[in-house]
Amino acid sequence: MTTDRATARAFVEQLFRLHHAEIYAYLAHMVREPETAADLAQETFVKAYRAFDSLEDPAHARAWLYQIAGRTALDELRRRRIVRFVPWTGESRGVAASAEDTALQRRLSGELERALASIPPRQRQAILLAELQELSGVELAQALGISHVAARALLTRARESLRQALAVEQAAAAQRSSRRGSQAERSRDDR
Amino acid sequence: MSRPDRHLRSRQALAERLDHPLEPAAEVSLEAHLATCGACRSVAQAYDAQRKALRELHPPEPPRDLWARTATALDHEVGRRTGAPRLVALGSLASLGLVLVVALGASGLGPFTVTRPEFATPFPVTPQPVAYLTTDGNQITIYQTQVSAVCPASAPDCTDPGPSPRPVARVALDAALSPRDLALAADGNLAITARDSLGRAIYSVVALPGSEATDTASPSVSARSTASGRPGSTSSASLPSAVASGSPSPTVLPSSADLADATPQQLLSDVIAAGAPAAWSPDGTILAFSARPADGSAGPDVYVWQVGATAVKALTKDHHSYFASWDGQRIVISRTPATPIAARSTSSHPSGGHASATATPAASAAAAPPLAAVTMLLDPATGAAQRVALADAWLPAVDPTGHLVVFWSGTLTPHGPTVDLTAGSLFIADWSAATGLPPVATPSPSQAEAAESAGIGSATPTASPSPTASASAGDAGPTPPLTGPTAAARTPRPTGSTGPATTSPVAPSSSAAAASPSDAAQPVTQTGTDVTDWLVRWAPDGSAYGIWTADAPGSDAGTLTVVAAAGPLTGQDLLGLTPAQRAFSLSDGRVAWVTPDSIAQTGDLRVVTWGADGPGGVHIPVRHGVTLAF
Repeated sequence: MTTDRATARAFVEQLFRLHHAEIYAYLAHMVREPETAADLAQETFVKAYRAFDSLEDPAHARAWLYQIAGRTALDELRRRRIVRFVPWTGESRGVAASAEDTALQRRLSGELERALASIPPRQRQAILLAELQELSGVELAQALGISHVAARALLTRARESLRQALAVEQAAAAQRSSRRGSQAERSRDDR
Repeated sequence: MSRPDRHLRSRQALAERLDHPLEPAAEVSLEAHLATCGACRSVAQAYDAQRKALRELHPPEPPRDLWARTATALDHEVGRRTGAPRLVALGSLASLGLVLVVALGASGLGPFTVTRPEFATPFPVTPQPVAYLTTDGNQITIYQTQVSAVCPASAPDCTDPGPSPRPVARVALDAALSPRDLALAADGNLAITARDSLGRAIYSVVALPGSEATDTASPSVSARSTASGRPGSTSSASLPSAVASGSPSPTVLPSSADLADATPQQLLSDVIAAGAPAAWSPDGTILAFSARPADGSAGPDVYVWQVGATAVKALTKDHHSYFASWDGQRIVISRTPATPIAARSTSSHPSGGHASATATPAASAAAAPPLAAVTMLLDPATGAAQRVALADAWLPAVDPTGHLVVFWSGTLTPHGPTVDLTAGSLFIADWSAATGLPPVATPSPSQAEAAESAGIGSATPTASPSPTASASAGDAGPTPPLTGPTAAARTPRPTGSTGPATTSPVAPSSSAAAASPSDAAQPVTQTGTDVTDWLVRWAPDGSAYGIWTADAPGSDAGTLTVVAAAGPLTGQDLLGLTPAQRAFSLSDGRVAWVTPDSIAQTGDLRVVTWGADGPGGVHIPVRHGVTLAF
């Protein structure tokens, strides 16, 4: 292995140590399949090694890595041709939550995941990076591969799209709940 | 300003406030509005709840073997790479606290389970020419290469094993200008639209080396050109600020053994580009585009330049006409009714690009009522105009066979000498039904069947209203320079009614009863319901169309998708949503684009193929500064 390759390899390895968990989480929320997310995370770091040349400033390595991961996720969504929905069993943080609270939070996060899945992928990228990964400003723009102004505009649109999608999900959930209530009532009456 | 605008603006401000503090005045205005608007207060609460819910999502744990898999893949990659990555300055690495030598076994990330990554072997495909442009100071260089092997769709990122791209021509350009759009004619005439820092456009034409750009007599223009005169003869590419173009793409550059310098001929300057990017007629003899005076004194008009002519000619003078695409040898334009220019705007919209027809947030939309778009066909030789029965369609991009059309439909509101676009989507419809003329080239049975199965074009010419309508090109403007056949007037569907001009495109009901062909239009579902800045290109044989949509109005970066328009895959993605710079080119069986790459300040040229050779992809290494493919 030449020194250059050793440098690149060590660099990517260090990036993995620092960022693999958040990159995996980002990809998991993007593609909604844990196993696929793992494959894509692996692919992301291999691509980072290949693209080592293009990293001009290591201080921006995190955003650079997110950009690679984002492109990898979009490629995967393209390859699927159709968007599949796989329920995500995301749970809320917090300690000593009651069983009732836990169930409520699980329902809410399910709605949120479905709403996230329904907005355009680029908008999903923007809002995940901003809220889950807490990227902002220049770092967010770099991770998205667009200008700072464009990133802000994209994020604003993402927030509005998600709000509307969430409202639809919550209305659908309320409808399902109401239907279940009616069925239970009918069932009791039948008995 | 109407109430809905206030609400929309407030909601945008609420979203923006989550990311950065508003200006004091904007904050005061927002709070004042929230104090009186319960609905907007609810939106504010929803945004807060959304943020809280997102931040409470539990981060999924990566699998324990992730490092082992990745390490194996890295080892494999290290072993196969022949080129050495550039050495990053050690001082820079030190700033990250990186350790250069890390023992694999010391990672402590669990047991190693080997998963061998997939590495693809390229397979041969029908050679596909691809050209691209790089910029360097005041000089642009045009390269050409040929893709003759790609990797399977499972690994479309492999590197092109073919010969290195060769430079074809160098064109000197004023350093203060940046090229924004290109359109290449088969004979080697390259139209360049460049912009200065104020957004003013300069249109030029350059004859590339090896081409035979000769003075041409006035072209013989018929209602429709023959099939042989159409596809494949022109290519166009667009840089930031383009809007829509149905121009077929690409072709082979003139053969030239050596790199040569070419000098551009300036056609028009001190204007603001409007409508779709400049495009050549199918026979390559006429360049059409639209622009308006940079001083804001008037709205846009359509201009044409004939090869060999010393000056451009204004084809319209109503100041409300926008070039959209070519339909055979006729020009498709979009036109709005004459509107008073209340405040003469000198804004050049440097970021938005499509200066007129500016896609802006609805917050800045004028309070004036929406405008109804009119589609017209202009004969560049006689000026005769014909109205097309395509309701609420904006910048229709006609497929080179004249069978289908992709257009934007939404809300148009006057904005100074131009219009703003808001709340719109893209639609596909039967163009031949709209014009009442048969397609230029008879569509293949598969294309016709596909259109039928997709519900497109059920508004057949016999079922549709009279395809021609009042046709004077001057009816929308103060100076009627054009004349043409008259026919029954069409009643445009009011904006905001059901149909395409809604924020949520809904598949139309039975098109047999459609009032116009656009009632039978189908939404292009791939691009969503909030399209404000886009670019459409058709494959020369009409078998596919590509749509690029900007991440934000005026943004260089966006998303590209290619959809089959014929054959068994009709309506399906040939290229799913993919990050791409604005420029892309679409040919029969391949698409080429440049990926956004803000880190390296240079794009990555990608090609994806489909068709008889099977799906595949490849990336073409480009040294620096690639800005578009064509």
